[in-house]
Amino acid sequence: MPAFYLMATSAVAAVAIYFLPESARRHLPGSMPSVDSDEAARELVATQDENPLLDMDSLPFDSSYEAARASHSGKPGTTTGG
Amino acid sequence: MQPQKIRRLRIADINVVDHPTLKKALGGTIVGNTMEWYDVGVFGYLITTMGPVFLPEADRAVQNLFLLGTFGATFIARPLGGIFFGWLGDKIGRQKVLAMTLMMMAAATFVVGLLPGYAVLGIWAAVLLVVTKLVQGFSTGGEYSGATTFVCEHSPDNRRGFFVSFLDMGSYLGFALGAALVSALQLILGQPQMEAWGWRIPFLIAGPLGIVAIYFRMKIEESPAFKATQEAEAVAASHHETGDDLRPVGPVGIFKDHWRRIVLAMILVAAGNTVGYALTSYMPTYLTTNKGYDEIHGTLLTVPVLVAMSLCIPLTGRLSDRIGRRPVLWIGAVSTVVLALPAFLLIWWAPFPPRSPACPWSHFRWRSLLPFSRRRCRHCSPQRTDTLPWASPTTSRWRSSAAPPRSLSRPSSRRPAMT
Repeated sequence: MPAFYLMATSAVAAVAIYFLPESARRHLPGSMPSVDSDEAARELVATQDENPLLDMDSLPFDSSYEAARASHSGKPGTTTGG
Repeated sequence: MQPQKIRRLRIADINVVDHPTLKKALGGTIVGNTMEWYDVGVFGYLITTMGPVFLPEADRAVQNLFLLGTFGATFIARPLGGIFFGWLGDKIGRQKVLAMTLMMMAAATFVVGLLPGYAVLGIWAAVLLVVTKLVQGFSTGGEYSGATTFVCEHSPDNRRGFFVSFLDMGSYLGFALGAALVSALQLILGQPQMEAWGWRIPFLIAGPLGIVAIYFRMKIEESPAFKATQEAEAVAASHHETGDDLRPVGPVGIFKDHWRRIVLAMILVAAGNTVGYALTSYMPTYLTTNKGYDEIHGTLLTVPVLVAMSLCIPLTGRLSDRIGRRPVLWIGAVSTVVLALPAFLLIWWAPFPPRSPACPWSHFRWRSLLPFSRRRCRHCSPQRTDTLPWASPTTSRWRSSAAPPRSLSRPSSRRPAMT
């Protein structure tokens, strides 16, 4: 009976969901946040310290990203050298 | 690496989604994805009709070759395609790879429509068929994960589930379109005509359809997340000391770094796909072999369910943005565990209540009354409603929610190489 296959795989999946981090409304790990409008961007910056949806550790604040931004905007950047 | 400075998020860091670009990206991806699954659906539904053309019963070698090829296409070519195109997409860009997979798919499908049969080429006809099937599997592997990644990276964070769910809607609609077209041709042309030349039509249609889809896909832009990462890599490569850490690692490295998330994603997709395939592939067969429907009606009964289900998918995608991915996934998993058995029992039990005398409901008589299938179908319409409650609540939830976890498991510029 195929119903049992469906039940089995779904039961295993239910266990897997337990270990799954929630990702709704959060930025993609390793990418900068992506928002709908300029207002939303301003609000995100203003509330960055108390926003539980923002995970600073998974934002790409690494040297290369900084370097890229610096060279992109033509400013001597905040490169940390690596 | 020396310790990082503590950085503050600035407005310039944040990607503000440009809606016309998002719409174009979404449209281009969905059209292609629908087309891709139309091809898969057509192949699946036509293979019984094409059987005699390519795989004569008498030639066991050909039969075995084909079985092996189909197996290889699904279980080897598809994951390999996922790994290969995933790697390539991280290297040269998502947009180019997505155009590439679509071209491969459209070309392979179109070629099937031109293949000479066993009568002309002997075993080589089957070999060519298997080759096209392998190419199809390879490109599907890249297509699906690529499209998901692409739309994820284009979407605003708070509506990602909603936008990505359109891809699954496209897949199922494409599948339904393929199934509906095949059934319509079977009804119009009849089986002998179908076997003689009719089976070529859906494949040949894939050619022009593919060109339209490729046109839309060429117009989409590279995703902002990929552009940012690539810029970073270009700069890093010029600074020798940092360059090494950032180059895309191979599939083995990806698995090592992210195996936990990849395994979780595989389990979820496996569960979602088991339910999905139960409807798309198993249900028509089940209706034919166990319930005595002929092939056309087995398929036609499944199509409305597919369409209803695919229209529900964006709703569940939206729900996942509102209440979270995990609750939606829980609902899907739990409802499948609870409802699968009752649903199958309903379908199994369906023909036994007495019907109007015009409807021959014993299995034995059904078989002998195949030409009256159309009438039988009308009389036994409760069947249709029995299938619906089973399919809609569980499968639609599952499939739509099977997509977001992919985004979850997707590390910045490297997608998990699984399909």
